Amino acid sequence: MSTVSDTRDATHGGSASSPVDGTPRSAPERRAALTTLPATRLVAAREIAVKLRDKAFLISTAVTLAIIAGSILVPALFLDGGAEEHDVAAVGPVATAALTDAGKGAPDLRLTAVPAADAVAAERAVSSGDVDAALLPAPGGQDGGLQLVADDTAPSDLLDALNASVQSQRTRATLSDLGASADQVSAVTSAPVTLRLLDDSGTAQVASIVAIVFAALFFFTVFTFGFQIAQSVTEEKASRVVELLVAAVPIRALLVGKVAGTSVLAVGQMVVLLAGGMLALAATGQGDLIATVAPASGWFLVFFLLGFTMLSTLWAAAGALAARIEDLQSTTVPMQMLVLPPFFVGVYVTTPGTLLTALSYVPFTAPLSMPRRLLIGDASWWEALVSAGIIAATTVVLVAVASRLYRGSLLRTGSKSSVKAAWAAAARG
Amino acid sequence: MTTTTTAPTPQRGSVLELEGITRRFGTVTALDDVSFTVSPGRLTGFVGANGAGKTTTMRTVLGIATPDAGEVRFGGAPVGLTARQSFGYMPEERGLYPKMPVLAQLVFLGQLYGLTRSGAREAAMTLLERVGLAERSGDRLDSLSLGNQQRVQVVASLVHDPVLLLLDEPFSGLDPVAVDTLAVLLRERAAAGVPVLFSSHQLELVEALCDDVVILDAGRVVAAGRAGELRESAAPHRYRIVVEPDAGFLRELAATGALAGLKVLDVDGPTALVELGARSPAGAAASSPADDQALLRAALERGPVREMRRVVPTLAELYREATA
Repeated sequence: MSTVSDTRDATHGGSASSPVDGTPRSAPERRAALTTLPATRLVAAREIAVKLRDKAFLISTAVTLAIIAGSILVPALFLDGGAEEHDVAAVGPVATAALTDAGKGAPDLRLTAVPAADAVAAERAVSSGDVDAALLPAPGGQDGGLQLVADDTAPSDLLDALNASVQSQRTRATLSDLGASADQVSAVTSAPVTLRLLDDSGTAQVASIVAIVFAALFFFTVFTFGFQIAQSVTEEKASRVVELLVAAVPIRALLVGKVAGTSVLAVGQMVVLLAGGMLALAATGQGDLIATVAPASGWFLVFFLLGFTMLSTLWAAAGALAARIEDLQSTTVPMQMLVLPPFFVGVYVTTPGTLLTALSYVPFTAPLSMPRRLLIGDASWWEALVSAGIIAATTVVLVAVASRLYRGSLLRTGSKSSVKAAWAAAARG
Repeated sequence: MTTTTTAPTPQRGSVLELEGITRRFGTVTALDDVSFTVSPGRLTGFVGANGAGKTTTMRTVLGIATPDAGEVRFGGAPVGLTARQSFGYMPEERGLYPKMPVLAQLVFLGQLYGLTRSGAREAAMTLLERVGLAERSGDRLDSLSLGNQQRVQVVASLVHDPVLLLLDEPFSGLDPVAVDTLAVLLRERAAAGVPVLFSSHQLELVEALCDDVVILDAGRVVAAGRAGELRESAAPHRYRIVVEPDAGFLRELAATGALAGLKVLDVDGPTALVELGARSPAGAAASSPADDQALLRAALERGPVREMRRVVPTLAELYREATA
């Protein structure tokens, strides 16, 4: 302790043996100072890059896609358009012709005639299960009577179809024999009761389906991605990396970048899911449904993006208020309150009227209500723009509010912050 | 020392100045009129007890905390976002993305600090090689040992070739080899004209490394300046003297008052610790330079003097005295 000499040199002698080459490094290529916009872009790009490497995110997207495609493909595979298949052994030309006619008359039956040499062979085929039934000339009857032979269960749908078809044939033949004209024949044999749908365009039904599907997707996306934004903010806070970030980047750029990056991911995932659903529809021959849904989807996507972005800023603030991931359960409660009631209102208030009109201008319900109105022709394009403007303006206000809460709570890493405390803390810098 | 006028881009070789920084948290005054400078080309140690305000001071320089009063200037210009993007910072509570690959996050941070993507990548790889982590560049940060995470943190503060370095307890948690590596890196940065301010509890380390020292106590700067000068001026002049056969005569000498200002602190056989006059902490000489020579002459009259040397307090002693 009594040594006066500077010990610095001694220490330095020691460090010279450290595994460092000591070559001076040239200054890295530097841009002009980073302003808010490129900083926002960088933050957004990181958010996206991290998520795209996240196995949990990729797997959950794949699973959701599989569920959507599966829910379209699987029923189609099993029901095959609702048609019931029957292989029927036919003995003689009369039976074969009757089967062909019955097949034409009953679209939900798919009948395949399997020619059989005689009744014995046909019955053997039925017994062995090679065919579902056999159609034979009725024993003893010479008037074209037929007999359906089945193993142990009566194929009633097949029997009905055959009876209807044969009866109609006979009626036509008899009427012709009696000298009735073609018009008279058709007047008698055409179906006496026809069906008329009040709304035969199918739009209302499709509109309802599209509205509900989008409301569900919106709800699902806002919750999962909103929670991810909150989580990502909390992680930065908990890992203290935020201290490095706020030294170099305006807080608003951090917040907006995060929201923008996550919005891109959310919309991207939505597009992938929709495309998957449409491909599945096309693959199962329901392509005409796409033509009806696709134009309607446009407005929903626009409002989806606006609404999602608006709510995301609040999720980011909720994330900032939490000190640890566990705190999110309580700090995100206000978000859930802002998402759940509008969701139910959006789903239940669907008929045109003052209420729906009003809801289509309230920022938190507009993302569901305005596209709904547009779809059923209850609103014109300028109303959509006004509503979109209201949502966008609300987003700007919420960004300011969230930035302040973000700033006021980011360095309060000890425990979760109340909105009030964060607001006050931000006031003083 | 350069005093540039308001420059658009902060330059190396500039001085960091803190002037009258005051910051209150409610009724607590965390920083009370804190003023000091950090000079380019020098390592400045920042010492003080827990809660003395070191972290708050650094955060104020970085704009993370806003002072109630006072100003931070770099190169003569008030520090704004542009300047801060060229500062290197290592927070006390280390902070990086645990789940992000090492290189990816260094490139991200480098870009935030204004580097191009390729520039950031190159600089990060060069530094990772220097700290021996080049092969781990693709691994997630949380798969690295704590010591290696610390090294990555160091790299993060250096990746953009900062014009000012602020490191909050950079040596805590480092193994001896890593301490040496970091010390060399910091020296190198200082030699390149970068002012380096780092806080530490390890006073021996600060004493060994630093050119300048700032001592903070309860939010106030109690000492600041060149480490050597502070140590010399802070305590009265003390000398250790070894004579033959016994140093007891010094007590008699002090009692007679023949040597003005002589005070014997300790005698142990042939060895004695004495004090000659005193200097005020401000450094103004209160004792005449002849005193030590008079003491030597007086000692020589009694017998052989084997050793006589000045005893300068260590930084730890200086610190204890300054914060007492």
